[in-house]
Amino acid sequence: MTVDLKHIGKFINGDWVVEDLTLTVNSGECLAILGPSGCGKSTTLRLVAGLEQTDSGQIFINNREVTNVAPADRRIGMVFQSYALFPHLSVSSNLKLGLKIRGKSAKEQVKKVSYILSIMQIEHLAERLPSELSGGQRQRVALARALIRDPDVYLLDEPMSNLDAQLREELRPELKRLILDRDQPVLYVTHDQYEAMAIADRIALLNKGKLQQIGTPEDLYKNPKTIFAAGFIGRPQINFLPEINGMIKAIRPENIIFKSEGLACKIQSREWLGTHQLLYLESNLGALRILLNSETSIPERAFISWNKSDEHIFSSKDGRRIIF
Amino acid sequence: MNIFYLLPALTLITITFGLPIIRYFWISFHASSLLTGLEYIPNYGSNWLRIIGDDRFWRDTIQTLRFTGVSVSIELIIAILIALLLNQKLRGRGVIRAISFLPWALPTAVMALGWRWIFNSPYGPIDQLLNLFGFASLNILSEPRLSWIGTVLADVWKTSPFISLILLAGLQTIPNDLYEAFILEGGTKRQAFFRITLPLLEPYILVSLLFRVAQAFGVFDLIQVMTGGGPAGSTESLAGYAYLNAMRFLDFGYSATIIVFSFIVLILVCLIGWITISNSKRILSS
Repeated sequence: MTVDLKHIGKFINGDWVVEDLTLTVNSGECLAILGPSGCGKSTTLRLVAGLEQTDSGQIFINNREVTNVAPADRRIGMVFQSYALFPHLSVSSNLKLGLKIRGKSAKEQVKKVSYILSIMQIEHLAERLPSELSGGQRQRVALARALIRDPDVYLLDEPMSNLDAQLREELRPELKRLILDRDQPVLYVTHDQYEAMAIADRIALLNKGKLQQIGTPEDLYKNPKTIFAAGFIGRPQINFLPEINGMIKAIRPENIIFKSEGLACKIQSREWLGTHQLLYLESNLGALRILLNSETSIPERAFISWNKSDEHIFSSKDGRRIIF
Repeated sequence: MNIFYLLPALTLITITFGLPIIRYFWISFHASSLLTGLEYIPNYGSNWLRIIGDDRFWRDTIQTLRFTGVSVSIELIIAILIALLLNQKLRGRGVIRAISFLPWALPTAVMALGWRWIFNSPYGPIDQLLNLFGFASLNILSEPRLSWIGTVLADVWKTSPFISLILLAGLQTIPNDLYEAFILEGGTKRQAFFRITLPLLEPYILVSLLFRVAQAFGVFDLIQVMTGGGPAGSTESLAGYAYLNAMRFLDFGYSATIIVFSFIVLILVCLIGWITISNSKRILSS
């Protein structure tokens, strides 16, 4: 089972919201679509779902072209950011509705719903209304509604963004067990890079409708192909050094170390973060962030240095990585 | 302690609503007319007995119920259509919305005069048009079997916008996600209307029905201006009959009885409506 997007684009109000996007999600793979708000990630998902029509390109699910197929016939299971549960229907009726519309027998409806309720461990919520559920429970019901259709592909649109940080952490392994470990490809839209890294096999980084880079989380972190990718992936943000000869060097805060000699710095402020500490430095290369182990003692006269191999170098003209 | 915060509202309601209704209730158990010299003389419920045998009263009750039932039902259907239309992303939606609410903003007496002219025979546009195409004049307002339809039409024209305003507000609370989720489940737009829009609109429909039923059941000005209750009493409403008893027959005791009767009917209707609304609100609150 695969999803293939070939040169798809969406044109809204004189702008390409998604432009010439080509990517493949393989069987059993979770691809996170990551990017800042307005980058076109949700639109991409809606194009795959068929809730929006493409203005260019083709979409294939399981090698079947679905570009002009009605949303209901694309065999997708979608989870909305808002969960989009029907507020006037109980949990089990929410799950049943689609089966009913698709003409499944009453017996089959009951059987499927009780099966899904049991694997989601929400049998006790079956007769509750969505308004009587907690955020985490609603999300489970939304996942259950996607699961019950036994789709060819799962589309998750920021499924965690309405939950608090602790709940998100608790639900991640759950999500893995229930959906990500299945054979179906998963498209997972998020603006949260930690979530993308934690969950996805690969990440597609989007900016202004264009694919910036696609690869494993490690790949994106270690070999950012553009200035945007370098600046977006990794927190605290990478340090960009002043442009020299059309080149911009960047160095991650965690790659900088104190040395007995090197670039002289003044420490402006310090944030203690438990496992780490983040220092803001002023040097003649500008302001720099440096991330240290929280146990590291800070010298009075600070000199910093880093390995040449940790430098990322980009062309200031097109923002692309320069490979020597 | 907290009861003090209620006092201003409570006082106002007591003075403007509570006391008058209690007084009307009291008057309904008294004779008070020219014959009594407008004094209040207890008659131990004979006003209420009189109601039972008063054919004109029952005719007016039925006519009022008919007016209320028919016009509010038509208004609801039209209002849903208008609200659905105005909820679309149309070009010039603001202007269309403003125009569609104009009838509601007109004073009833003014629009009622307008409709009286529209139905005028032979000079009103309806009869003119009929004549032009060779049909006989309808002369709706002079025909006892049709006159009530004329008043219903005018009422529908005036108050549909009010319901559609409430329903439009309701429609805008329904997130688009729900429709998309429904379409993904394989539903059609038509099914979406019956399975999502209508159920979610229910509390709004009930609220507007409550307002409109209460208003229509007490209809007075529209009918007074359009037909004066005629011809032959065929459009007379309960409020009109109460008005006649007080102002023309100077029988205040009986007029009060009619008013208290309609009050009790309305209270019952509102109670049922209110209970239904709180049920559907409980379901939808999130």
